[in-house]
Amino acid sequence: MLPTLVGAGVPCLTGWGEVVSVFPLAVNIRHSQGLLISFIGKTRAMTFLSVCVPALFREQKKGLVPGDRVRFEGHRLVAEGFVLDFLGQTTWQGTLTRDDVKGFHASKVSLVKEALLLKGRDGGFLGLLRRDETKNPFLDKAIKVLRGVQSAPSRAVRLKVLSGMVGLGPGSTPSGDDFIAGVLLGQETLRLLLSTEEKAVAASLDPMIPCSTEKDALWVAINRTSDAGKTLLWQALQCHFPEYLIEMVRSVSDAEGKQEIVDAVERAVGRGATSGTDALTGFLLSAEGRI
Amino acid sequence: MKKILVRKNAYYDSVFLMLATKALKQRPGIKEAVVAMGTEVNLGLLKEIGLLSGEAESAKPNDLLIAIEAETGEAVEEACRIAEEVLKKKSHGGGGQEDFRPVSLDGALKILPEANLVVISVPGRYAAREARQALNKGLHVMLFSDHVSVEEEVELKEMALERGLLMMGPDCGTAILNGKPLCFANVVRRGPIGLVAASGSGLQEVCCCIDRMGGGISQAIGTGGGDLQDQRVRGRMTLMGIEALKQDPETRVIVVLSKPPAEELAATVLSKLEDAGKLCVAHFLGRKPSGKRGSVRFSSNMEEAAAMAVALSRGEEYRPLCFSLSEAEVSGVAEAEAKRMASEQRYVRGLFAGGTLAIEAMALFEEEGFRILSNVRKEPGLALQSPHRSEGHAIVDMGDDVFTLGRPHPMIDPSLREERIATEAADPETALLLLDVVLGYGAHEDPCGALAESVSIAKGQVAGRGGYLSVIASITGTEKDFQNMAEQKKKLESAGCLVMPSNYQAAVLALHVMRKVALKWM
Repeated sequence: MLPTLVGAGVPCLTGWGEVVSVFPLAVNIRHSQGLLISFIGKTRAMTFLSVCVPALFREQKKGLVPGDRVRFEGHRLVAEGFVLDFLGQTTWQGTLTRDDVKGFHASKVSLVKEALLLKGRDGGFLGLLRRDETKNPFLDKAIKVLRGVQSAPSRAVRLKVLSGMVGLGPGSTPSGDDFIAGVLLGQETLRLLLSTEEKAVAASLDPMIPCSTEKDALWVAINRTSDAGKTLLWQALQCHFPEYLIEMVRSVSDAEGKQEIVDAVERAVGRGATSGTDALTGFLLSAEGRI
Repeated sequence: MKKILVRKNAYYDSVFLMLATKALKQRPGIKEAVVAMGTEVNLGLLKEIGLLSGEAESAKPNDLLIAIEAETGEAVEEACRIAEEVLKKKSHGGGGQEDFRPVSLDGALKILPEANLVVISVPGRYAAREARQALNKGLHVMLFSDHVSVEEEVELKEMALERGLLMMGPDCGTAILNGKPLCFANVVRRGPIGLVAASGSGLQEVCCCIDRMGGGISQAIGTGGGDLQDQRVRGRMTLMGIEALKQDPETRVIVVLSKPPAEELAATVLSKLEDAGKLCVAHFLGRKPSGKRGSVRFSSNMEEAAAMAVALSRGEEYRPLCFSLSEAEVSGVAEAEAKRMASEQRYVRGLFAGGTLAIEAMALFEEEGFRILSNVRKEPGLALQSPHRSEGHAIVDMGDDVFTLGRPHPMIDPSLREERIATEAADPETALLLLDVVLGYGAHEDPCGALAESVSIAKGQVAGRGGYLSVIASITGTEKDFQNMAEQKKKLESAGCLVMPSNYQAAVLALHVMRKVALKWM
């Protein structure tokens, strides 16, 4: 059985993992470092720590059930009943490139916001964008954190305050984690825009973009969230993002009309319960320079 | 009122959690329901708003918290109960894991550790190994697979006996245990009649007849056809089945049913029945004991076995079964059918999906002096030269290995029988087609619809050359089977089939027609 795509982070792993959840198109394995490695059936769900192996799902997941042990051996993965060999397979980085962002004009940011307010799902942190009156204690807390971020004197302090959102909110991946991943995606988008000729958005936002040491507070904080949240942030802090977010940025960059942007946003907010909405909220606040 | 539930190390998908939360919020009296992970920051927040207590205080980031606020204590408790139920169902394979199917016994047991019976359907060469594993784990086995050697069958049944477990099969296609139908089985009423059968379609036929007559089934235990046919197997599972029914307080009447059993084994079974201390009915196809022996009554056909069992279960004396048509009607129908046939039409062709149903029909014809050839007969001169081509009077078991190798059983896929109907219709000597249809779990969703079309075409073909094709059928099924018995019957009738209420009655009617046909040749 051969994988069709291997997240570039997977062959770097060694040691044991344990299957913790099995879904129709995904099997999640908790690696001993507390990261979730996923076997997935569709490339749209790719991440830096996933292996796309549709054959596995056609063969009814080879009988994998929660509690099964899996061994990571770098270039291959050994499970009871099968081995996945990564050597020679196409790897997937999950990083943005200059080409992905070169059409991301400032005018598109407001269209993304409009689409998100229209299509976004309630229940998570969309209220950070709406600035609604809220009875949701998680959102109230997030609003307080955001105010702290916006009034912070420096980038390092800003990120330290932002780390207060790690693990905050409803869902198996807390909304705060999705939100921060979105913020980091926005910052990465701006960094790439600055390095291209397309500086329309980024030119005035240089001070917002953190260098890696300034992310230390977030690195420390990721141990305070769930495995799903930790895995997402572990990747985002190294500028690896899930395929659905990269696809959203690419689609918005390539979009020639408003409808294409609405469609791109709609696809992204379809991710998880509110994960897509929360990540896009973080992305927008970041792209607007409000974080 | 507020309450918080904790589920340790929970990995649920977020869409499921969102829907679960929404469902909780919609319940009457619920003011708020929040589902979140036990992260430090979430715990802090829940504490601030007074929702954190007890076990939740020590929750970890991978623990799921469900916080519920309701107007009354009852509403909180009810919401908590529902949340627990939904999450438990999910973690046991419902919802997001709905399409998960384990491919090993160990995998299956991880999902359903409380299971006590395994149905095994794997290629024959692996079947014994799987069954051995299951028995070693203390599980009852229903072995659907065939092509298991007699030596292995004996070994497995011995293992099962030592452990006090059922080892149904190999080649066991039907059972109903504690009201749960397994593999091919019909939806029948529950009641005091317990059955042990070394015959799959026979067991279904008797169960359905019992249901039609208003009786009910306590247990229906399949043993696999080899149990009473091979001396080496020595009827181990039939005897164990009788013992189980003897001890089952729900069972008042025991029915034993088998294809022609080995002589000595039949005697052993009868002794066991006599010792059971319950009223019993025995039906051994191809044998004709009559009357009774101690507490055991003998029936001459499967429908009669059902009728006897129902009468005994009601404390009534059995009165011989009434045919659904009067003698005059039978004679009239037979006359009319035979009269329309062309002069060269002279043979009955039985195309059966159920092996025991084929044997029952074959036995009836033979008693009346018809020489029947068949693919399941071994006697010299009575075996069809090719199972794919009928000669003379022929009854074909289309569920036999020769037809099912690499393709589904005709109960599941009627296409092979449809082709055979066309072949028989093309033979100018074919006078009558005798068919069975089996409904129920595992069977084709519209078996009569599929057959009706080919019967219509076949009848048209024969009519086109100036003849008439008589088609008589029976349907083994109940009104509660998902295929809808009444509609299935209507489909066959609209194609010109004469549909009788049992296999026995269909064969009897066919016999009357063929007698009339035979008279034309004298």
